[in-house]
Amino acid sequence: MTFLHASLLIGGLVALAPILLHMLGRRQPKPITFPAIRFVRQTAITAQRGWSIKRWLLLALRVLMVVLLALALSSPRVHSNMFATYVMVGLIGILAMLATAVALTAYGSRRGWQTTAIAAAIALLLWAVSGTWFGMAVSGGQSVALPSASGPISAAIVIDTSPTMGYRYHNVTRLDAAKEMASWLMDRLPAGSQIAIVNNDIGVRLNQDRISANRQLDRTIVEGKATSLIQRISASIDVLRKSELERREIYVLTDLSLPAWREADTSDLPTKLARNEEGKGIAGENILVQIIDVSVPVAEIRNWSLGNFKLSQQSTTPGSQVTISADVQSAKGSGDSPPLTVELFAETVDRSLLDRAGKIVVPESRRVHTQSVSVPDGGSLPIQMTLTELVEGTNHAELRLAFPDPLECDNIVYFSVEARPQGQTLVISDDEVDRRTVGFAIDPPPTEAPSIQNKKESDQESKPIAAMYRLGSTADLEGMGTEDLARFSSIVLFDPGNMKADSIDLLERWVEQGGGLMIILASSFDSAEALMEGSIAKLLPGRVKSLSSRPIKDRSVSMAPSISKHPIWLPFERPIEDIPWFQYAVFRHWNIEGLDDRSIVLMRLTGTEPVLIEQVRKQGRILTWTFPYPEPNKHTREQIWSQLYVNDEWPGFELLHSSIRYLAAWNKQQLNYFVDEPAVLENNISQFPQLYKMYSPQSEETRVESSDESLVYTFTRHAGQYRLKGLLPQGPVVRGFSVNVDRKDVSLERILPSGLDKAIGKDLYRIAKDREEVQSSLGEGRYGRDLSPFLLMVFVMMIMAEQTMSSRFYAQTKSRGA
Amino acid sequence: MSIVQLGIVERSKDTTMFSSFVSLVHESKRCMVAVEQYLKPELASQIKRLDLRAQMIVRGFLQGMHASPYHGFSVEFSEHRRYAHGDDPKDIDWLAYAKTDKYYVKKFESETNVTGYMVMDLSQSMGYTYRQQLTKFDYCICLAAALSYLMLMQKDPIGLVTFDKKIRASIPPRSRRGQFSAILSLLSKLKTAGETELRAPILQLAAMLRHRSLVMLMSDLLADVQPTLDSIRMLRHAGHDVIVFHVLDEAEVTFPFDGLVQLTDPESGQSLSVNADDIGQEYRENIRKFRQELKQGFNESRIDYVPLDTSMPYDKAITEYLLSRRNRF
Repeated sequence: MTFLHASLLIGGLVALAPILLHMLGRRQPKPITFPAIRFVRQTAITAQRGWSIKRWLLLALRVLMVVLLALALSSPRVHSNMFATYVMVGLIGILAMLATAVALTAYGSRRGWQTTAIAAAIALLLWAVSGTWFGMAVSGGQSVALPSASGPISAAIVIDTSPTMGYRYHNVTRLDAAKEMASWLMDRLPAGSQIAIVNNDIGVRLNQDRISANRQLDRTIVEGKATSLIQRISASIDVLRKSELERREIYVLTDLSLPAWREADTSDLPTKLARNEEGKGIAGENILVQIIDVSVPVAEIRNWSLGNFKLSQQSTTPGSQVTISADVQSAKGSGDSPPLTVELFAETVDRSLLDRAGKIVVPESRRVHTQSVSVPDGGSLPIQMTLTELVEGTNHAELRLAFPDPLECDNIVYFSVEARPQGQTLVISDDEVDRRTVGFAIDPPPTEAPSIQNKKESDQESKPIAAMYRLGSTADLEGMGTEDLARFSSIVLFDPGNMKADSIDLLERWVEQGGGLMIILASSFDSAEALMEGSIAKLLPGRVKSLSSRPIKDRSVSMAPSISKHPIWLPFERPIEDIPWFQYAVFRHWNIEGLDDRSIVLMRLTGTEPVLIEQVRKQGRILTWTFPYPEPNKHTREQIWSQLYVNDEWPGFELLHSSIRYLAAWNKQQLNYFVDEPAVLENNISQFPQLYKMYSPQSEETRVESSDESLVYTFTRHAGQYRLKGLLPQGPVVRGFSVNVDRKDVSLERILPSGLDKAIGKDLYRIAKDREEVQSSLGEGRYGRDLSPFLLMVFVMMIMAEQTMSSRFYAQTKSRGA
Repeated sequence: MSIVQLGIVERSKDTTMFSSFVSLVHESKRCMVAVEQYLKPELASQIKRLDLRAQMIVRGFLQGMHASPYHGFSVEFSEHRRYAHGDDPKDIDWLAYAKTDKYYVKKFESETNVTGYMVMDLSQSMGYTYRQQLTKFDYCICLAAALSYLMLMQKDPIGLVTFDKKIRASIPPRSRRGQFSAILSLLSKLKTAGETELRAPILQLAAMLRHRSLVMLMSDLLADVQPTLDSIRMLRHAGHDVIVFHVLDEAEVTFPFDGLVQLTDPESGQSLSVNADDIGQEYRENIRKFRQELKQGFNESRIDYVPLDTSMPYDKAITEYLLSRRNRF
């Protein structure tokens, strides 16, 4: 507790006046002879005691009034956190006084010992509570500086740079509002103050001059990832503790959006703020934390966004297409949206990426797709768009919500897709005709476009093998190593028989490193038991239970897609469900059960048994057919597995072709990241340059060098497209990737007060919204709260009590005297 | 200053009665007692018409002043009874025999005078007065004068006993005229002193009284209730007719003080500082209870209790009492 006018406390000595007046003004009793004194004596003791008690109570009240007035005039100030404590102590003190008065009055008037005892016990309890509490508050409470103490302050201005700070309200972003408030705060700091602007910059340092702080403030921008305000405050505390200035303050300018405070549960700020260097509550050691809320009123929040975006594949072959799906979302309270337009912009693939005066010339974008949607308030609507005719190289595109809502960062989705020529496929089959047939499925002859069945005959004329695939037998596989397989982007095992375990292990390793393997089960095994005993079982997605067979006449079983969206379906120009799969009966198939979590059933039979299964194995994947396509060469018409291949129908062919292409185009290379995720690009220096220039979305240029055959870029702090340009003797190499704001970081939901209490510590911070509140809050935080109003209120109550008591005390005397 | 000079004679209408009163006064002149100070002529004429009868049968040794309608001396006819062997033949009612031819004996009750004793408290407290007009003792003297006058008018002997801790002075009962002046003379000379103590003097009085008497006690009874009751009941148990005139000062009943007062007991000298405002109500309640307890205690013993205070006109008070007593017997 600190007193603004401590000298006025001397005025408390005036309390002696009532005592002196009381002593001097005591009247002598009037002597009267009275024989019947025996009847007086019975009541006199009680009455005299009661009268005496009333007299002393009145005196005590008057003394207390004087003391209280002196105390009130001396303007006692307490730390604002302790204000409630002092008020409570005061109230309990008043109750204790009342209880004491009641106890004394009961004792004086002999109301019965129970009443006296109860009142006395309550009074004692209340005195004990208020006394102890007051003692604790005085000894352990935080001190406050006097308003006159206008010494310099060591201040840290922590600015929230989360994506939501870009929310525009009254044409001002929250960050701009925060900056303005920060500037206003800096103007009000005493001369000689040290200021640290804690923003996007790494590290916190105290600026001795205002200009540096202003410059740092100007550089503050909205980031693509939610700020960890707790870390920033923690760093600020560390820096302020090292300051030689005694007064230390932290201002946190934030919109209180939840993502910036998501570490609240594990925050160590409460212990850090409660602690000081000596471990004692010394004035000046305490750091004032002032939260300044720059958020938009909840009722005013409007936002529509693109969320849950997903790209069908990040790499494909030139001329292919990819789909991007997303949800158009409406924040609750935004109201029913007007028709929103979602646009897909594709960027021209630039192979040279011109650099003019240190700035790149961003290739031109063209709008390739537009879709209008209306989203209900608080709802979401899925959309899907396809980017077709991909050009070889890195294709950049953007999905934009063409609606001017206040928060822009969640209106755009950037994505990059790499289109590169399909790699070579190795077709392994012990039957020469079969492997050639599969080869034709991979790369049909361009000219005559014969039917596959017709190719059976023509293949025997030893037609040159196309470069897109290579044919081999299981025996060929035995002689290969990992390096040999690395040349192939996909491998097809057609009707594999008993293969050596080494070969299977080799294939497994290859798949796990990112290879795409297709296993087409056919007639090499007689039974499911024989199949499961073979080494090939290791590569299957589940346990083969049986071989199901149906008569040729039974056309009741056919296959159908299990999922509606998959890159394999993309070549089909209509929805996969619309393909007439029911026309192609399946007569035999292997029953596979016990699929694990890594497996996805792409096609099922009518009887729900899976027939086309994709299984992810680390970075690669395996596609398993439970019946053969094409039909094995050695089968007679009675032994056929399905009708897919019988009449040279296109769906089966397209399915096989697309599946192999899907596996061949599969690339483990990730080109789409979230903000702050390190981007890693494979960079085989035999094919790619060692050194690149990296251009950020803000056209900031940095140099990135390949290391361990990969390019690593960690400063993905902003959403957008990042472009790399390197040079090879044959010309420039342009690559790139996209970075998006993780929608988890874009939440306009506010942290609750309880959350702030957890994050910073209850009563260890103050919160204000506008300048007036900030000024008041800072005043209270720095100089504490004035107890005078409360004391004056008690003083007025005491005047009333004194009036009541004295009027009752003297009323009878006066009336009788009159 | 004589009564004539005071003009009392002219105001009196009953000159016959008043002449006897004047004769009493004249007899007391030699004692220089201002009788009119204690007994107003109006009161004397008023109580002349009343009497003070003992409530029980007493065996007097003097003749009463009342005329008997029957034969015999100081005898009042009671009843007829058949003659039985052993009865005095002279008691036979021959008139009855003449009418009935049977012997009847006339039974008589003797009617005699009653001896009255005025027992007056002479303790220090009896000398108290708040308004400085009439002390309790003065009030009692007035009462005594009236009662003495009445008794003497009835030809009943009246005596006086004063006491504090013990019997201080006494005048034996006489029915002669000079007794009135003797009583007043003595009373006017007495000064209140000492503490109130009932037991010892009453024991002493009881020993003094040989016949059933009418004891008229006048006191403020400022002592503990139960010993007071016990002491006075002794007289009642001894067969005496007891009338207690409980005389308090006006201030002792109304407690008219206010503010801080230091009360001093004139008997014990003890003092007490109190705020009169605080205790007034409770004091009055205490006095009321005190009187109530006495009344109840005396009633149980068939003792007449007459609560009085000095603010009450004693003539009115005594008249009312005598009237009520006459109505009762």
